[in-house]
Amino acid sequence: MKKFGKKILLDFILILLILAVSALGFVFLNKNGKAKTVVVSINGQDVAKYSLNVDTEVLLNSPETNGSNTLKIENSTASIISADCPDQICQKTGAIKNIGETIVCLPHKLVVRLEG
Amino acid sequence: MKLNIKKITLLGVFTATALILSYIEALIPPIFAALPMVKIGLPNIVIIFVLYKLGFKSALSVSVTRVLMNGLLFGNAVAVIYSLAGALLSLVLMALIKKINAFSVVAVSVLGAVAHNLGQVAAAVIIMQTAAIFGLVPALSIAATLSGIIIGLVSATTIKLLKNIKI
Repeated sequence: MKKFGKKILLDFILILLILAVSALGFVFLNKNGKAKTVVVSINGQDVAKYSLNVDTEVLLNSPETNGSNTLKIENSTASIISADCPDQICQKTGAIKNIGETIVCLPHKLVVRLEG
Repeated sequence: MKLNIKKITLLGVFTATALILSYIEALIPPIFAALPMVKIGLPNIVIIFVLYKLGFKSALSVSVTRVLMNGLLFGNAVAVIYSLAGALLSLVLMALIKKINAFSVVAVSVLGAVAHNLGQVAAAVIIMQTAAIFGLVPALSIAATLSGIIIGLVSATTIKLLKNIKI
């Protein structure tokens, strides 16, 4: 029983450590500035840049994976409003507006990221 | 790993259970709207149980079979690569932590959950060649820690309740 108690203490320390490191990473990565540019990359290549201040709607085609996503920029936020991938995770991510935030579509190898 | 009929049957039952849990998990809507890829990790209950009861090789076979079949039945081919990277890193780390024997099932589960995300993100970064995806890691790790604690407690209870069953 004594050994069991010691294990729980170690568990607790480990969990706190992971949470602390994650929280630190969170603070460092999210500079929380309003982004100005939307960068679209497909298969690791930056293919397009849009200003976050100009409302627009663009159809993004991924030639290699034969998929498409529709990017919408409105009120200084970017979101994917439709996609023909099976999981629809990019769509469920919703709107992003801060520097460093991303929308990822794994099946189409597409990443939408915000820059300053 | 000695393969007799009993063991093959057992591993089949465990794989089926893990698959059903994957399916149930896919039916649950995303917990955090901003991070739709966050899942509770229900199949990990089975993986942890097999790891503790039958060992690393059995857990490996159940885990890999589950990922492949889950991809074939409910997912798509691309997702299998990410899942496999996550599942393998997760299992290797869990087996190592278990071997150290300083932590309980909960810590094993938490590290397994965090490693699962890390493996998937690493695969995504390699495949898509975009380091920006690493930005998701802190938020994912916090979510994984919370779900890992829950799954760890369930696994610990399951292992305890089935302690006297010889398999």
